[in-house]
Amino acid sequence: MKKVIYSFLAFLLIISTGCKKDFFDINENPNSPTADAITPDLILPMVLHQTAKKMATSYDFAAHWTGYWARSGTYGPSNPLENYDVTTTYEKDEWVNGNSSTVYNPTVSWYNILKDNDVMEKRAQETDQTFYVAIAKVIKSIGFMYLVDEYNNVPYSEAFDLENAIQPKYDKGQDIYNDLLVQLDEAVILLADADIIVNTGIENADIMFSGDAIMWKKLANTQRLKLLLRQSEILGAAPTAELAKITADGSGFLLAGETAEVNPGYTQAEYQLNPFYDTYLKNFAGSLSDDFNRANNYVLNKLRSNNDIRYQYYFSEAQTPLGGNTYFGFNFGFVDTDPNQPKAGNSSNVAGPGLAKSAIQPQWLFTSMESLFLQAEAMQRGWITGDAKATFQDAVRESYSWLGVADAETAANTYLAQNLPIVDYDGATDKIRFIVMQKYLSLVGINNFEAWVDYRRLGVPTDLPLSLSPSRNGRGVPVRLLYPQEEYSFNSANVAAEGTINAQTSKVFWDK
Amino acid sequence: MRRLLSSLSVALLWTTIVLAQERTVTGTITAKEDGLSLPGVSIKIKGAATGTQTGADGQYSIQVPGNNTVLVFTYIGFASQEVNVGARSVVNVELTTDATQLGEVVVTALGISRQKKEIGYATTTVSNEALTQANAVNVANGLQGKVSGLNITTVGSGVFEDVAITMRGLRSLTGNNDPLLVLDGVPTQLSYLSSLNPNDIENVSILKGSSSAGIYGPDARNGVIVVTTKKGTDQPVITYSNSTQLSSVSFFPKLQTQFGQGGYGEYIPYENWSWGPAFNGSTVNIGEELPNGNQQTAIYSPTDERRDFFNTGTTIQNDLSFSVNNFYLSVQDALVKGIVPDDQNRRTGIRLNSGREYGKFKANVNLNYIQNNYKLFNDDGMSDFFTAQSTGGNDGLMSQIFNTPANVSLSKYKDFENDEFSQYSNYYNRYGINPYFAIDNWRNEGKRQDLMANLQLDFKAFDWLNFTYRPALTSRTIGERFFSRGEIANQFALHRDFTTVPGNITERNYNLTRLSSELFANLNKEINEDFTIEGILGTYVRQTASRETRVGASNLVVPDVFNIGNRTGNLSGSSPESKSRLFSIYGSASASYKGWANIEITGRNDWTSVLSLNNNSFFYPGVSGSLVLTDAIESLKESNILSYLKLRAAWNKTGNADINPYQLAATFSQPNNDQGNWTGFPYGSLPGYSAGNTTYDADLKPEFIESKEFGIESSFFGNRLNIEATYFHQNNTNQIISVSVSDATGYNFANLNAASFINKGVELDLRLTPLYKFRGGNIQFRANATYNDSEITSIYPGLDQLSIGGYVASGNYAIVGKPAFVIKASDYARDDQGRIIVDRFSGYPSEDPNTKVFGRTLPLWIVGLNPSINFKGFNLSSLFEYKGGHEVSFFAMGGDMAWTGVSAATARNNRERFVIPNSSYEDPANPGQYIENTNITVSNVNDFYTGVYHDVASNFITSAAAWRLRELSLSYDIPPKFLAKQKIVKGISLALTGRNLFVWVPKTNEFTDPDFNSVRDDYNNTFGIVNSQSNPPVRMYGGNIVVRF
Repeated sequence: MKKVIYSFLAFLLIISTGCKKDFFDINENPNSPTADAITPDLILPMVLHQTAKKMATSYDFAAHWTGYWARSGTYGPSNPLENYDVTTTYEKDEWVNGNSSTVYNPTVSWYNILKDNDVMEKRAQETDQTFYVAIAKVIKSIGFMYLVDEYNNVPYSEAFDLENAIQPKYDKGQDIYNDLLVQLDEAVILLADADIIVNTGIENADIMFSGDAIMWKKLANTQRLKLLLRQSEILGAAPTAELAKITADGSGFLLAGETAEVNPGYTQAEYQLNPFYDTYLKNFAGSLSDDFNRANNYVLNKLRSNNDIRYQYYFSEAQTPLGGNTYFGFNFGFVDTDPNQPKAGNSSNVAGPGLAKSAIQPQWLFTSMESLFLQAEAMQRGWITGDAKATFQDAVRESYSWLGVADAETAANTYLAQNLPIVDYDGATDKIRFIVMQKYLSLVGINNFEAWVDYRRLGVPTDLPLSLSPSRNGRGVPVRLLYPQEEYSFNSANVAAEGTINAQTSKVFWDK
Repeated sequence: MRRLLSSLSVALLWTTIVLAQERTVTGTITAKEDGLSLPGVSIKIKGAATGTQTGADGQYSIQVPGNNTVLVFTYIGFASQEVNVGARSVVNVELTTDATQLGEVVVTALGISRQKKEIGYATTTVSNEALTQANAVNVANGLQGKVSGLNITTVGSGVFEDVAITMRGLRSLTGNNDPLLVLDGVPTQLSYLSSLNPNDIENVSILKGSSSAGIYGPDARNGVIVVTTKKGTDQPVITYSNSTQLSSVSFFPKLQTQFGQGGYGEYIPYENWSWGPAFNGSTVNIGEELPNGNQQTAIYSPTDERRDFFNTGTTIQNDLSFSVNNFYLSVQDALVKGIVPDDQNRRTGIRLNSGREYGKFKANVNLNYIQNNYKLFNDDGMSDFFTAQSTGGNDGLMSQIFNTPANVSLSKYKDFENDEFSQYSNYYNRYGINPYFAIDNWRNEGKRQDLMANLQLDFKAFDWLNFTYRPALTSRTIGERFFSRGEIANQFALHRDFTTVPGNITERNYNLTRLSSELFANLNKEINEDFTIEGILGTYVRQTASRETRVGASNLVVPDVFNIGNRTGNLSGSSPESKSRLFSIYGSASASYKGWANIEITGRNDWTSVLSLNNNSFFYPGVSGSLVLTDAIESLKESNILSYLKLRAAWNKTGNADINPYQLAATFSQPNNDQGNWTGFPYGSLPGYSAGNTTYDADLKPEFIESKEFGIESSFFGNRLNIEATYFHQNNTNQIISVSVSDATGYNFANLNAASFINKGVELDLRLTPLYKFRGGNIQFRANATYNDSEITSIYPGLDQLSIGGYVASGNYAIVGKPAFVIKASDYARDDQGRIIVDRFSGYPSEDPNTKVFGRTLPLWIVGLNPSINFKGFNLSSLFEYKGGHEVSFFAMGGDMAWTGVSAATARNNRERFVIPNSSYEDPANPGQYIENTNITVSNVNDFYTGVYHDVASNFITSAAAWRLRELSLSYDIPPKFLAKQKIVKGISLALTGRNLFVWVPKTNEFTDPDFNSVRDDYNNTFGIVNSQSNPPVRMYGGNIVVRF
């Protein structure tokens, strides 16, 4: 009897000790790599593609608010887009990840892109791959600029540090901008010494410049100028110290024909099309993908009435024109109760032949004409040396050629030569707003966000009509977005410290 | 020693026989319920020490002293019977199962049967008869409303009758709250419960607390459902049963029938909006003129066809079983056709239970193989299509149906292949899709195969010591495909903003195997007349492994050829696997004094592979005891009123790390979902990785739950009135949860030890058996009630709330100081008196940017009432169930209905401008002051409902209270005398049954069954979220016949 019990106990003891370490050591993830296995070259393509995609396809709301686009007659009123009554859930995927297993094509938030960028920077720093570090800093200066431009104060210094800051505090928009300039300082220094050999795989992983450090420096300098011009109305004096860094670097800005664009290998397959083409024109199956966004009559008329052929490149001909209206737009916010109103098919979509040239074209991230307009404005302000008028005209010519307008240079010159206030540099009383208006007309659908920034910064376009929405109730174009509901739920103390935010009055720091 | 005793008794018996006028009495003992013979029934002569037992065939033979002898028949689980022998020499007795449960046996840990009175924690046994009285298709439905503490929720009305089960509320905020299923002694995943054939089941024991976790391991912290399947009987019996049931929609959203197609009061022939003019009986065009000039017209008046879209579902179930001496073989075939046209599932299963004894050795094998073959509409496929069209509001089949304006005869569009007005491209509705086309186009077809096998070897070393070895295998294989046939939009359609529906296919293969091996010794020794001790010492080891492979093609070339080779573009897919191991040593020791004082202590140590090697071992103890006062206290024994009184108490701690493998380190991936790699990566040879959304704590520790319970079990008036009550209190600490964090951390979730909450409640069971007795029959009444409350005590330093499932506009939240969970949702901006603030000019209210806390999502009270009448072979039984004290959000569904203007609410004021009740507006002279609004009407009713009303979730939050008639059955057993003439058929019973016949909900619930949950598949701890993917609830009714040969 005792024997039985003892032998049983002995048996238990044997399996319990025998089973120890090895038996349970099976918890290495066999499905996905963990941080140790990840190298910068595996992350960089994702960061660049997502950044370009976001800049090109996430700012429909800005396009509607600034007169580029309007809702098609196929849809009923769309609020808060049209009554400007921004809520804490509106456009929250700028901040909050829309990632989900059940959503067809989720949007990726800036914080998500910047998280990957941050991991890339840290991993690259550990292995002394300084080219990757520099790229990370340039991308950081773009991503956080967008966040500040939308929300003003946002988590920055404590972001991406969950172990120490599960509830990251908010930094002042001005402080973030200042640090982004420092990031660019560091990036340019690192790029000067960048060694392609050490930075394994960068020629392939850098789907924008293929490891060309000079081009990265040009982008960094142009980005610096953009950050400075954002602050034009609050700086008081020219930011000479910062501008001197551009001169010191010597690589200059992105020039004509030097659009920063990414191409991981876009192809005619699901999820692999050029993002702009996929979002606004046709999907992988060849079906039209956008019935909602259509030409806004404001910009359409602005172009047509000034004999500016570019409207045929920004917008498409209607599929089924009504009454001979091949180019047909809508008035923003108008609620048409006529059952026979024109529909999406009777109007001009926003993926004109100048923008959606092909399903496999590279995706622009920073266009050459935007760079030229920034330079023209800086020259006009006396911040950098150069002929503002010539540069502005170069920018317009670059816009024409970028769009693929037939015989672009002649067409642009013909446009510029007209005796119309919209192109008359010499006759313009407010030359800065004149240049920025031309910038507005050159970036239709290409950089919708920039139009919203300039509208807030300088009030351009000056004659922009407000929404016709019956429930607008006196509101104007929002001056910012509201912090997302998630922050009120998961980071409540810090967001509460920002006080009551009003999308009509709580301006971002550079908006005076 | 024993041999001596028995020879002594033989001697005594001999003496008796010699002394009296002895003669032999023989007979057969059978069970009244099924007529089967009972082996091992003890027969004693009243007043004497002598007795015998029935043999394997249920027959006995006993020497009785004379005609005045009274025989006492006792058998565990049955009511004992005393029979006056008289002059008879044959005494056949039918024993009835003991409804009073006093002698009830509960199958507890490891399949060991124990007397209920010895157990220190709450248990309930549900017999096969109770389980199958209303022909539930699966076991979970059969348990609904019958057991206090058990909350079984039917979350959808599909062909699988999806259910969610919790016992005594929640123990985990975001993790697993499923009770453990123990099938013939083997711990098995709860999901297998829906696969089991209810007719194979002998009984179900519900062990409510976590006390059995000491033996069953961490999975038992949520309670245990112990299912014992039928073993063979001694005489060969063949049972055939057929059950045929119909199901039809029992509750449909309240729709308005005053206004038809159109917008802003204008008639629009291609609208899906019902914001047109009032019905007037005129003839109107439906849709646009087709290119061939044909135009359909209809009378502009309401129809009832949206409701008629759904079929009458059918369930036809055939069962055949053969049973003899330790051998049980059954075959089942069930064909379920759902209310959605073309939805069906066929379940075919076979079970073999068999055993053999060789002296001290005993071997048992239980084998069960089940196949489910299903063909279903794939709602997610349609939803993805709409999302890709950026018309996401129209998701869900229900949405397509109620979006149909009341003046459109939906049934006209059935023939979408031939009828020109029904074809995809020509459908009248520009913004929706022909639902008949949709259910044909997006399909899910598959086969699920379950194999459950276990072997049990027993070695009885001594009378008091038994060793058991039990290896077991459960395996699930799913092979299924999701596809879209695809439809090319013609020119006419393209000009009306239709797009081509791509043909696609995803193949999914899933395989899960769980192997376990258990060895334990069971010791049971009578120390002396008063003391019995019992002990268990055992070890358990388990490995769970799974692999899921998905591969898909998103753009098929030739229509209706569902081969991933028939495509353009890339293949998409993934093939994750997982493996985990658990090893345990456990033991228990119990002592019983004279059967009325019992104490048991348990302890268990687990080692798991899912935690780091430094933290992977954890121990947890428990103790429980019971005291039968009516046995212990002499004065109570005599009481005429009180027949039985037992007190019990239990305390235990359980530890668990119920997490998936690989949850200790954050990962990177080329993001993909079911449909493909939505970031596009890899592009050819170029990879692109992104950090996952969740970060993990490498140093994760097991979570612990401390539970206490006190109970009283009593019966009065000779067991006619039984009352049982239990109070329980659980403190759940250090929960392993996914905390939602600010996106600025770079993650959405941090998986760590956090959050504590208290879960407590009272369970009450009342039985009146019989309540009333009359000639030839009786009325019985059973009732149970559960009160369950919880309170979140902490979340994480600095965090006081946690979103469950991430629904921000209207979702489940855990908030410190509130119960788990509450609805937090958007509401109108209100003034300090709670009035809705409206704009002084437009009369519109606005949405408050801060969401507000509404009620709890889990019921505070669950009540089950079960009256039944027996009369001469007839049994009429009904089961009413109430759940209340909680709220439900129909935001997604109600919002859709407001947008399209079909809901009854949108026509409440005849679409005249109206003043929003209980509203105010800001005093222009004194900003911040609000004046009661008596005359500012909403400027446009159409805009109001499709705008702010549609956006504000509080409009669709309502009480989730409901009374239901869960079961109603009338059964009749053909009396044996009618069958006496022939020898083939031994018994026939017939029944008419109904399930979920009626549901009564408050007037404010104009939507659907508040128990439904559309998102449970994605977030298993969310409650009360219903969107347009949920079909309406059904009632089931039909009949069955059981024939025994």
